[in-house]
Amino acid sequence: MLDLVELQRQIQEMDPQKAIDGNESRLQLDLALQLYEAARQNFEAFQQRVNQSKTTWLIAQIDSSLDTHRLPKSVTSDYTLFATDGSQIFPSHHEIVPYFLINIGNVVLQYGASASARLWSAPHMYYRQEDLQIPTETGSRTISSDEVSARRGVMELEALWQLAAEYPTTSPRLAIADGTLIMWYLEEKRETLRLQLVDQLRRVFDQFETHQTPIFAYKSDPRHSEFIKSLRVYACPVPHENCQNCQKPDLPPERECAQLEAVRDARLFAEILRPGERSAIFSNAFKPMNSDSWHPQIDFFYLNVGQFGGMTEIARLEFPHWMSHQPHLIDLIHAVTLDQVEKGFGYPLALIEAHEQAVVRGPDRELFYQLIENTLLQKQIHKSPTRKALSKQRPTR
Amino acid sequence: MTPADYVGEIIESSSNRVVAQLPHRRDIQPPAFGCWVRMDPDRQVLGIVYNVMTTGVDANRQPVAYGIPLDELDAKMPHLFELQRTNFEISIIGYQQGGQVYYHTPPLPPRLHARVYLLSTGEIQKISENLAFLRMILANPNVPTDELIAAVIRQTAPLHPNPQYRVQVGKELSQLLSDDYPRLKSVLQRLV
Repeated sequence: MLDLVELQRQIQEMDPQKAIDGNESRLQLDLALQLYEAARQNFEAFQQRVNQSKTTWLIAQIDSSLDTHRLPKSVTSDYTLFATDGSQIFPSHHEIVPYFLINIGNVVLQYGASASARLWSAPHMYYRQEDLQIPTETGSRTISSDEVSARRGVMELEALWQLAAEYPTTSPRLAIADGTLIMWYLEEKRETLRLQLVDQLRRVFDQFETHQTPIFAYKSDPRHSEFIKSLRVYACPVPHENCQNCQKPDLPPERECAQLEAVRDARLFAEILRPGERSAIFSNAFKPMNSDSWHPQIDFFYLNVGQFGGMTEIARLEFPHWMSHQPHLIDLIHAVTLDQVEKGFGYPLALIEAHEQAVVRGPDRELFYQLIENTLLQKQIHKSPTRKALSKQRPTR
Repeated sequence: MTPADYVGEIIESSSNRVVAQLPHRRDIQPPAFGCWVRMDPDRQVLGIVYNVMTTGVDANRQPVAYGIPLDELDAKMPHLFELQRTNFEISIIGYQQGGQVYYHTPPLPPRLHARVYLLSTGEIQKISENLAFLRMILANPNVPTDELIAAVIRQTAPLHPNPQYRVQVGKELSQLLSDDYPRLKSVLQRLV
């Protein structure tokens, strides 16, 4: 039940200007553009400053000049693209037996002379003790929603490699993932789960590199400000920035660094990149905190995928560092992304279809619960869900 | 790829109407409007296709127009074929038992997920010899009866060795539709 009258009143009170993220002013954006221009012209000084910085926040590292924004060398209509996405039904202690479900959507799209497509989903049920219980100092506890999501994220990439391994084709082949390849959240997980997932992740990235199969993640409307942070370091008036102990009172309040705080990378590149153009390649500086952990070095660029609904859409493409040394692979993911976004009316078609395969909608979810209940009855288990769960299924008047 | 020996699988079944789905293969065309079929080999139910429809596989997703010629669409959007299904509706006109053909509602409808087959020329000759099937078509309120009768006869008459078949059908229809002369006329005009 939703009190729509009361809700409407609260929605009216919302301030859309404050509600929209990245509400940078034109002035701030112009400043960012000026700094970008300065950094471009004095690239070596900029690069030196950024590479020597010791900020606690992650800033984008840059190897090549900022002049490299360009269109792909060739457009491609002959390629095979693999995509996966996942969804889950989280564990609930109100259910009769604990379990969780991860559903992986798989997509293989082959374009060109022998165009074909395969779309399907693969469900994975987890009900064993070792899947459900996470060891703690005092014993163990049930796996959390966050941990299920982390597991799902790694499974999506594993499934992606499976597709690439099983479908050898002569046309250029590549794999697209949804969102990001930076798995910072793994670092927060309990050791046993983290080590297991990191191990799986490492094997997947190794396979892609060994077989020289490009893999990249596509993020629509990214909220990152990694490159802006590099510009902020460049703009820092102190010779060796020391942000943790920044002597703010001694610095003018209108200092450039502070003014850039609200600007996002995508907003800046919407001003710089023309439709179809990509930015220079940047390196993400994320490093695992745990010494026994591992994370691939991820690079990224921004891409103007075109105008949709009157708005310029800037996407962020992330990929393993080894691909940055192979310009033809960077060109390939660039060209394929543009083709896919055109086919999907603003978002890569392969990711749309992978999502459609992965998603578990209401009726399927009901059927899933029904199947479990029936199976338990067949196995002579008459224990019922908690009273709370039952009351939610069958509300009384 | 060998051609499938069946044209559909039943996904909705009742005593007078069946919905079947075309096997999901690019090389299989749906049966035409007015085609003779038999369903469920165990129950030998007979029927005539009266509607063919292709829709999106997911009821939540409405197909959209792409503005690309159809022959280019397959190369540019090969996934679209995976997202569509072709179903056809069948009006039941009788069943076979012990070699006999019965022109009335079968005691049991064909089973769900049973297969649908096209009738051979020999089978069509045998089953359409008795014109009682016309009454079964007219009795089904859910089908476009006049259009369907005309389409069936246009397909069936050339298969008959009897040159008088079309004339016999005309006579039978004149009795069945004796109370509605304009309708009879309009059906007869469409038989040619």
